[in-house]
This record gives sequence, C-alpha cells and structure tokens, in this order.
Amino acid sequence: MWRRTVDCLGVAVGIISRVDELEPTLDAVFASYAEAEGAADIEYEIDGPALSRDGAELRRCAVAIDLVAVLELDLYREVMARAGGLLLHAGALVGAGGRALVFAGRSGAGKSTLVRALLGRGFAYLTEECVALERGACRGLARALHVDDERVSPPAGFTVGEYPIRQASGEVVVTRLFHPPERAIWRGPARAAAVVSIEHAPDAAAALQPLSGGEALARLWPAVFRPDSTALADAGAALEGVARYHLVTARPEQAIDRALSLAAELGVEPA
Amino acid sequence: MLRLKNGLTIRPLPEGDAVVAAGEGETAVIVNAPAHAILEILGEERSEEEIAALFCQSFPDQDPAALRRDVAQLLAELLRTGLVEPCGAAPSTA
Repeated sequence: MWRRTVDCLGVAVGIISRVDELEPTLDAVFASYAEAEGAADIEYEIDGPALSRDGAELRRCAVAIDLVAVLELDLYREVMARAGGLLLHAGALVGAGGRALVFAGRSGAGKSTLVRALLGRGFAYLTEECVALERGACRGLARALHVDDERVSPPAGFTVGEYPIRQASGEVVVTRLFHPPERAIWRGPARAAAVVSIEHAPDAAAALQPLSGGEALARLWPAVFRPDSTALADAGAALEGVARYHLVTARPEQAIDRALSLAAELGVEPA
Repeated sequence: MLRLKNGLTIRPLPEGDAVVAAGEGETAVIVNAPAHAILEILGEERSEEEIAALFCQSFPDQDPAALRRDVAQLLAELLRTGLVEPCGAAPSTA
C-alpha cells in the first residue's frame, strides 16, 4: 500500500493507493511535496479501479494509470477551493532571507522557463504552478516541475521522475518531472519581494514597467485561479507592501536577464 | 446631484486605487486613486461643484481650474461606466 499526507498550500491531503503498479508514478508525482502535519483535510483513496475522495467514489477507470491524473486534477481543484489568499497561476523562487520573486502569467507566458533558469542560479524553489499571496506572504504549491520538452535538461542536483499520462487517443505520453533536491526547496511561507506579471510577445521590445495597485490587479486577474468576489476582496491586502511589475519580453533570455536584474535591484540574492 | 450606484462594493488597492464590484463580483471595474476618492465622496449625494470644491481644498497648490476640469472628466467617465448615477429632482424644462 502507498500512503502519504502531503501539504498543498497549507491544506493537508491524504492519499492512499492499494494498487501496486501506481506506486512509482505516485512517488514521482508527489516527491517534492512536504509531509503535512496533523490530520488530513481531504482523503483520497485508490482501490482497484476506483478513486474516492472522503469516502465518496469520484471515478472508475478501466486503466489504472488514468486514476493518477484524475486524482491530481481533483486535488488541485479542492486545494484551490480551500486555500487562503489570492491564488495566482505563477512560478516563484526564494532568495536569501526568505524573500520571494513571483512570476505570474497565463500558460505559455514563460513561467516555467524562468523558474528553471533561476533555480540553476541558486534560488530556492517555491512553485512553478500556483502561489497563494496573503498580506505580503506567499506560499507555493510544491509540485515537481513538469517538463514536456525533451531538449530541456534538469538543473544540477535535480532528479527526474516519469509521469505517464494516457491521451484520449489511447497513446501514453510520458511527462518528465524534475525534482529539486530537498535543500533547494523552500518550505513554508516566504515574503513576497515582488510580483511580476509576465507576458511573451514575439515582436515586443523588452520592458519592465512598475505597476500601481490597480494596474497590477488588472494585469494579474487573468492569472487568478479563483476569480470571484473573494479574490477581489483579498486583492488589496495581497498586493500591499509588495513591489509590482509587468515584464514583456520577446525571448526567454531577455526574461531571464530582466528577472535577474530585478532580483539584484531588490536585493534578492540567491539563497 | 450625483451618488454612488446602489449595490457596489469598493475594495481599496495599494496607491489609492480601488476595485469596484457589483453584486457578487460578476462585474468589476478598477479605478485609479482620484476616481476612488470621488466614489468615496459620493457615499452621500453631492453635486459636481461640491466635489470639485473638496478637491480644491485638498490640493491647494494645484490650479483650481485644472482640478475642476479633471473632476468633470472623471465624473463623466464614472457616469458612463455606471458607477455613479444622477439623483434628486430632474431639472425643470418648463
């Protein structure tokens, strides 16, 4: 039996699997999460062909491996519904003194590329997927870095796991999961030094523009996971005391250079 | 006379900006600091002239004519976006 209780943005998620063949995949998918303290807030169980949450069956799948992806997606949905703060689709790195740089943007904006590049320069990993921002503090969903591009190499010291996902066509695509070494993962909350809305625009001149509170909310809103009245109510407190910028770049190297310059300007040094 | 439209919630943001939401947040408008200030003033019914006078008191080193012009433009925009509405008796056409 495989069993863990992992910390996801402060929500304790218990997972039990009684299907032996899923153990390597579950190990790979949940390797970078911290162990949660105390009782689980949500309990998942995989038993035979079925996945249940808190005792109620969610899904039956003919092929066992499909249950992991179903579990992961449902877990994100549940955690997002329960976690506090303004939830941003964002990557984040932490420097010395626990000061974080948060890079928010839609899929394809370049968050993962930035995160991998800054990890390679000594910053600690908070997340590549989701940040909860609350009164200047930020937490990250510590999932492994998901890498589909075969040309991408893991940063030094990282281990690589495999996450087979069956497509609608029946073909199995294996996503590589990069696991930072434990010493390179920032556990618990960090202080947000800056929130940067990032945008990839192939024909744009690279620019880093400071944002007022209103401009920042407008830029960040498409990257808010739960864009509702609660998010609107939380936004002011979430952004207070945090430097805010919009970064437009045409190429990943420009984004990396600007991010490193900003880190230096704000005194956020590698940990 | 003008007033803030009923059912709006004003949430402050850093630097004096604000997000103004209707209902349960189905629609929201982000406003800058001067517009936010006008919306707060319009928690009670005011005329354009009263609002402009308050701005002139608050910014005595600014050109009063420019301030009145800015207030008029902001109010027109707030009326257009529906955050502010006219109230009181309509002017007589007799």
